[in-house]
Amino acid sequence: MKENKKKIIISVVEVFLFLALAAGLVAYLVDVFAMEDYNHAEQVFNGFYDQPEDSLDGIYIGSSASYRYWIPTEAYDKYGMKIYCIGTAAQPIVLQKYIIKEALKTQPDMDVILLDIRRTRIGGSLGEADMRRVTDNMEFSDNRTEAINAALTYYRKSDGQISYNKNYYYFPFLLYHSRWADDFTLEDLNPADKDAPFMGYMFDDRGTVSKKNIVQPTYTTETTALEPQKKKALIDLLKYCGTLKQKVIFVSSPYRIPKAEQEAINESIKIIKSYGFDVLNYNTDSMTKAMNLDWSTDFMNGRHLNYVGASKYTASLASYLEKHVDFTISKNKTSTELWKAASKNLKKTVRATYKRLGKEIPS
Amino acid sequence: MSFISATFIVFFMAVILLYYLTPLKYRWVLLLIASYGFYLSSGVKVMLFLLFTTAVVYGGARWMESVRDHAKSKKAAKKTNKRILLLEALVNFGILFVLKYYNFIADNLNGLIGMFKYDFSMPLVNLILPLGISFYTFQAVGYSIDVYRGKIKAETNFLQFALFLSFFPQMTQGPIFRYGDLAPQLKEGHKFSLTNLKFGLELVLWGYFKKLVIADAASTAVTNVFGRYDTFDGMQVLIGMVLYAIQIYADFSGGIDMTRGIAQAMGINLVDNFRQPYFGNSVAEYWRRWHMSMTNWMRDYVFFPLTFAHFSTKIGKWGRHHLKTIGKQLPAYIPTFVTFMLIGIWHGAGWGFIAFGLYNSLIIIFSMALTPAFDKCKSVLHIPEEAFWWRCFQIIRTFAIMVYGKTLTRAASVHDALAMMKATLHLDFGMFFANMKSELIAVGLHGRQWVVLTAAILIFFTVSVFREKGVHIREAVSRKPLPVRWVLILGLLTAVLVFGVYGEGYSSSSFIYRNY
Repeated sequence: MKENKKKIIISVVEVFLFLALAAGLVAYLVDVFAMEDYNHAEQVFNGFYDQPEDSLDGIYIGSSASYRYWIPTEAYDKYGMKIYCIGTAAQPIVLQKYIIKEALKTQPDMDVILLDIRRTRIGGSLGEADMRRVTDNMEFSDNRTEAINAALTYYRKSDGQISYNKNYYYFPFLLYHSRWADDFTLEDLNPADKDAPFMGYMFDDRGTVSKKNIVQPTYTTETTALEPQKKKALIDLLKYCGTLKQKVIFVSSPYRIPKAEQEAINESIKIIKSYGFDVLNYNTDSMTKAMNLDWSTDFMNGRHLNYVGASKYTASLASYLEKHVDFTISKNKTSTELWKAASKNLKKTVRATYKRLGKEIPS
Repeated sequence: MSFISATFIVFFMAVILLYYLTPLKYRWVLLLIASYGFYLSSGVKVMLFLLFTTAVVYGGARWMESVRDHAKSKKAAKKTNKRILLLEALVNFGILFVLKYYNFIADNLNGLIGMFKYDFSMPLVNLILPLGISFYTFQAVGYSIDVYRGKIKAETNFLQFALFLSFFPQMTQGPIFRYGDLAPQLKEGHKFSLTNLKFGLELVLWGYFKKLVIADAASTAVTNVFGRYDTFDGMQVLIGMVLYAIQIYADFSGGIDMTRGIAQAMGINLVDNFRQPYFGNSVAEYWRRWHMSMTNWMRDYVFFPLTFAHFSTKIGKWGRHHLKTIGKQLPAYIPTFVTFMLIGIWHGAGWGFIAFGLYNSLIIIFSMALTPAFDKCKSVLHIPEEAFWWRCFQIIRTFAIMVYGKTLTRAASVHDALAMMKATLHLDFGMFFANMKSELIAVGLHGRQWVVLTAAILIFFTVSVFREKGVHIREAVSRKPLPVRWVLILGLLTAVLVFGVYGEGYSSSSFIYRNY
């Protein structure tokens, strides 16, 4: 009898151990066979999830118009504000509401939410990868499911040419497991160390490029109607932001803006202001002058600032936030070391990169 | 609900869990509900066909039993029961025949009528083909024959009989069970056994490996080659044909492993449907190892009755008297021919399937007729029957025959199949090996895919060799130390998850034999 009982216990333990091991294996495979993204979206989300609870002062959400512009560690160094950048390439507006919801799960007492509005412009891609950079990297939750459903509805109504089988968004592994036959390398077997190193700012060799022939655009105050789906998504986002206790600021970061795009952004600004939100539009003469933007040195290409330009932008925006946002709610201090390390890491990386490329290190 | 879907995996896991949570006495009720639920997922209309067959066969069997119990003489009972059986078989095979073969016959008759310029044509209709109809019809008729022969008693419980015809793991692609083998196990509630559960789930995993890692990976190249064979050289066509033979075996046996595994996880032991068919040393031997539930059905209900029928005896007597050696075999020729033609037709409506039946029957008949000559040759050449090399030769020869035969069932037409066979008569080995990489890629799989597919086939082959030697793989694995066991199982799981062909863009979710 005793022997029998012992056998049963061993069997039960064995089954649970095996199931745990199998679950671990599946989790590892899911991690390894994720979308190959050269635009660091996975790292950005991982880095955000690694922030201690209730430790951030704010988040900055948007496309490359955010992560190539806002340098969180420099704002932290100068003003002590911890504003993490959850920026992903070509981030669809329809998903921004869900990114905020995701952020509020662990950072409910943030003071400010910055939203980049460049994606409200006319045209622009509507790729599956743009959506996946967000939804694939969100943790499994109802919010993620809602985000997928909302994005697919948005894409379908906008005639986006993507797959509409929801299962492949809920479980990206169904799609990406077959990567082994294509671009999979042995390096992919080590999915560790995938946090964004600079709190969401993206710095690479391109950050050192100084494109010479960028000229300042002629600004206009004219407007044009937004694409119906974009307008609907923007209004939905504005309504949601109206329910938040955080200060929400919309930002249009500077670039060589074509006239049609500026007209669309102007229309967006008009709508946003009508809902009572602040908008910081850097695509004006006064704002570019105020931030001391040099069109001949501060851009890596027509649409993005280089590291030097991003530093100026960050200094200008952080200064504005310092004056207009009430950073009084005390935060969890355990993340201080994390931010200090990220700051140190960025400085070191910037120096090393400029040196490696034989360029003059910016002061 | 496809076997290759997350829904099905959740479904069968839930059924297994509920099975053990249900009191022993009512476990068969749960299986019945699950089975009809599974069948319902393929449509309400198709379920009516299953219900009709169930009712007719149940009623027919009860009627035969009643006639037997109340008849004045055995002879009278037999006569009446024969009529009942014929009626029942006619109704069931009639439904199968109309749904599966009507359009094929109508189309061919229209062509024939057109040749004579008559102003008449049979209409082609869009008929539904209920899931597993070939399998449950044969199973139902087999049951009726067994009741008629008095081998089994007619089932009195309609619901339990309904479960026998609808047991969900076997509805997709069989096997075709005998009542005596399956029904008692379904009725009986099985106590929980961790060994059964483990062995069952291991078999399911192995089935998925064969289906997703081998069959569906090979499918890409097979579809490519069979779809535009005229753009490939002889070696590439041959590779496509060989891959198809492997694909269909991995596909069908993989599905059967899943069926058996799910059943075993609930304590229901189902006999295997395959015994390493490609290790058969003759075509006849191959058929004794391939889809055994169907070939045994044909043997017991078609071949034997024909062989021992009065007219066969007469032919035998005449043959022995007039034709000497061949004459002795003559009574076997007609049953062999009929049986293999039926096997061919059973697989589907098309000239390719008829040609396949003809191909197999003629090979078997000729090999029977030429056996004395072969024996004489072997004796003259001093070929030792038991030598390893001779056995290898026989196996490769049989495999080659089956590779060519199966081409008839896969090609778009008999003409295409013959053209493919013809293409393989011109094999340029030098050119192929000089450009092997590009030649293989052109077939439709990339470098890494070939490596993985080849490795998976080698694993399948190795397991088959062990099984052929009588090794019970799962028992053998269970005797290994725990880390070895877990590495093997988790390795298999990884292979299925990573190398399996499923997900976006994957459309071949159904099994080849599901269509038969």
